[in-house]
Amino acid sequence: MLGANRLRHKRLSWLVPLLAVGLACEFSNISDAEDQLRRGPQREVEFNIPIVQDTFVIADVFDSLGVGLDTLPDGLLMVRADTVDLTITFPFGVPGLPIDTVVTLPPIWKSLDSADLNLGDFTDAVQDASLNTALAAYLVFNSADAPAQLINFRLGAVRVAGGSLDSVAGQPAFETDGGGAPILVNLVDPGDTTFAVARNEPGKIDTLTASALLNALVDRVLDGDTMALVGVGDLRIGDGTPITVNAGDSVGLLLEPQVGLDLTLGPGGAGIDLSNFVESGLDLDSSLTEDLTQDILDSIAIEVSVDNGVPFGLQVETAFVGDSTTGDIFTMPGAVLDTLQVAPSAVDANGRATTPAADTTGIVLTPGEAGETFNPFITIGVRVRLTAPPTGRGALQASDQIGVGVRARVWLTISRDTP
Amino acid sequence: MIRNALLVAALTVGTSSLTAQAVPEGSQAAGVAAGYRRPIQLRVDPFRHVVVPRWGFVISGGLLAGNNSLNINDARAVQFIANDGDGLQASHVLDALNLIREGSGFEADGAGEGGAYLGGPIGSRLAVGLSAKMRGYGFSRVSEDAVRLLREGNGTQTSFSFGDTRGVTLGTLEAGAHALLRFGPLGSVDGVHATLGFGGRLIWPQYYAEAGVQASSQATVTPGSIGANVGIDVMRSDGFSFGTSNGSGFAADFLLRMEWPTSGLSLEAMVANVGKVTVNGLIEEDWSVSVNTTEILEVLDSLDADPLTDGVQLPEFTTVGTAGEREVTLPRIVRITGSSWANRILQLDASLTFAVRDDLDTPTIVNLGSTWRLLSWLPLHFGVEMNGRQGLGFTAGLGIESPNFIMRFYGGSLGGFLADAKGGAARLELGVFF
Repeated sequence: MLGANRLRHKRLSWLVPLLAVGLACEFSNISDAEDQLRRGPQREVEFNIPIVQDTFVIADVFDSLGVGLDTLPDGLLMVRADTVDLTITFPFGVPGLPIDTVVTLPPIWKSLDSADLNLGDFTDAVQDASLNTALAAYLVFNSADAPAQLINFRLGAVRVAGGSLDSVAGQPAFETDGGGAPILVNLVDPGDTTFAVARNEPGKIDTLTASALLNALVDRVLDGDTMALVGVGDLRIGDGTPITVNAGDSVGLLLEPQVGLDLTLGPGGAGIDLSNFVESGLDLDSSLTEDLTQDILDSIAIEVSVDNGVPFGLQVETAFVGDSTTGDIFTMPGAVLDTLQVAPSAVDANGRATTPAADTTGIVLTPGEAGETFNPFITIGVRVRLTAPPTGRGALQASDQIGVGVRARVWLTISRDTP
Repeated sequence: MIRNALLVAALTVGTSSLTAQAVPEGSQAAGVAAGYRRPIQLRVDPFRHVVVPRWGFVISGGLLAGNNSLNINDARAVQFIANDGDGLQASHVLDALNLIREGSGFEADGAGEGGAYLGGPIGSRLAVGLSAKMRGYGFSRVSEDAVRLLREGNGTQTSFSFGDTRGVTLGTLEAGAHALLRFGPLGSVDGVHATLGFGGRLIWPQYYAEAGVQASSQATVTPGSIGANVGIDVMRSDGFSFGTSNGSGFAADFLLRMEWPTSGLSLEAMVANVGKVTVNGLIEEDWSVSVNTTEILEVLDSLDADPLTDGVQLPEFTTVGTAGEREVTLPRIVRITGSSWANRILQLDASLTFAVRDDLDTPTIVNLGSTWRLLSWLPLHFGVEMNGRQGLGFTAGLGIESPNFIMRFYGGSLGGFLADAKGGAARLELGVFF
């Protein structure tokens, strides 16, 4: 009987190791444990994540980029250059006598260089384009108790070399147009042929249309030349009534070039180099970064949907490094990413945007590139090239808008088969 | 003719190899006590002991727990990785989520009971039994959509409903009385023996907790926006409180068993645990968050209940009542069982337990088993269980069934074999009879 029981126990004894193996085994290494969890079906997973969905007013965009822009009365965005002082000092004093005389003024000029023309990141764009709208705002005052009148007073641009104006036959060598004619702007009162300044005039303010002049001046300055804004003409002093002119009295003429962003672009467009943006990265733990990029992440696509309400198309080159740097990251190996292309808005005859253009573009980041966004700091470089509408002319208005939707499409593979 | 019809009926409930021949009355097979022929069940069976035709006292306990996705090896793998150098990473979590069965979300349930029985026959037609038990139920589900959002992303589906996510647990104390009326043999000496069983249990809840995501809770994640409105309602006891002051309830149990001993066949229908329990004195809490943004980085801002302090402070649960009352429907059992014993050694059993979709969900369960009595007092059981939550599993058990003593140990490896199981069950009974 005992033997029979032993035999039965023996027959059942296979259960003991089976239970032990089945219930008590432990994983000996991490790979086995990971393989156990990967026993599900290999699955391609896509996450669509909205990053930004917003409408940007173009004036606010430039503000955020640190480009100080003003607005002309018609809404056109413009850049102000430093004020140019062409003050005319009376050539003689008059102690309360009835005088009415005309004198020819020597060239009155003030030199300008690139430091006086702060176009910020728009420097290259303006240099590459023709300016269709440029004004010279003026403020004229008269400190003398004598009326004055500028007669045939013209403003032009002359290159400065060695501290002197370039000249031809003793006259300033004004910039010329394509036909060889000097580019000059007459300072006259509206509807008149002269420019009157009342006695003790505290400030006479208006603007001159000076597109061709400032186009030539700005081009030269941005090319590195020192240029002068030069005024030539006659000054009529008095009107036959008694006047008093003291030593040092003057007719102050302050000019402020205003360059409207009404540009005609060539086939190559116009470039805008923006500064590098150093941003905080996601700052993930290194093991998590490794896990994401090596084990499950296939790629990340950044897709940009744009309702472009500005008259220029955008060709955006981007570069990216996973660290903080101030160097030119476009020259760093492997830093340059794909280029985004955005179509321009439809425009009217004056280059003003009418109907926004909808466009979608994007770049794809490899797991390695995507993984660098997980670092503590990242640097993004952006180079924008404005591309012209079909007419070639585009005028940026402060109210122009760009609707932007940025989303990340993240592709993962989970339960990936172990190679 | 009747026998053939019954065989066909038995086949319909899954018994496949009925080659039984009539077993003469008085044979060993017919001599196995009817109460021991009822196949032991891992789940609720209030007539488990009253069918034994002797007076006796039994203490018993059982435990069952499982889920529909992760097996024991998975749990071990998670534990191993968590204790490894880098710990659990996102890929491990996603891999684990990928194991959740598609279409049903993540479900887990458990039940346990323990208690004592005293009872026996009064005459040849009547048996009565009294029982006192503690019993617990638990069920939880994470909605399919919630799992799908993490497991499959939002590339093809952008709206996700979380309203089916909930968890419930109930602990009770119960006192029951059950009776059997035996009839037969009817018609002839080989005729059917019919047993009618009925009874009830007074139930006193000891602890209750439920947390459910509000039905309207959903999230929409499109390429252009993220919107989510999620609310959770909680009702819970203020700790475990032993006694009868937390509410009460009643459950009714019914049994109809038809047995042809000489033919080696039985059919049984049981409807049990039919009732409700009212739990009172519950603390009611709610919690909600709302997110509506077009930028992923603003999601955390939207969830931050206190923007003036560093970090993200999720809103806390708000107590909205301290005297809540909840009527809980017990997970009823509707089970059909068929057994056939072709000879003195082998008995084949099949049972079908219907699914319940209520406060405490249970899946459809099909048990196919065989009981081997190489020695009439030493039953050995092997079987399989197919249920709608874990899938195919295995059951086994052994017992000692003598006229004066029983010991039964019964276990189940649910949804797989041993370490590949998604759940387990065990039951132990010890009893003495006079």
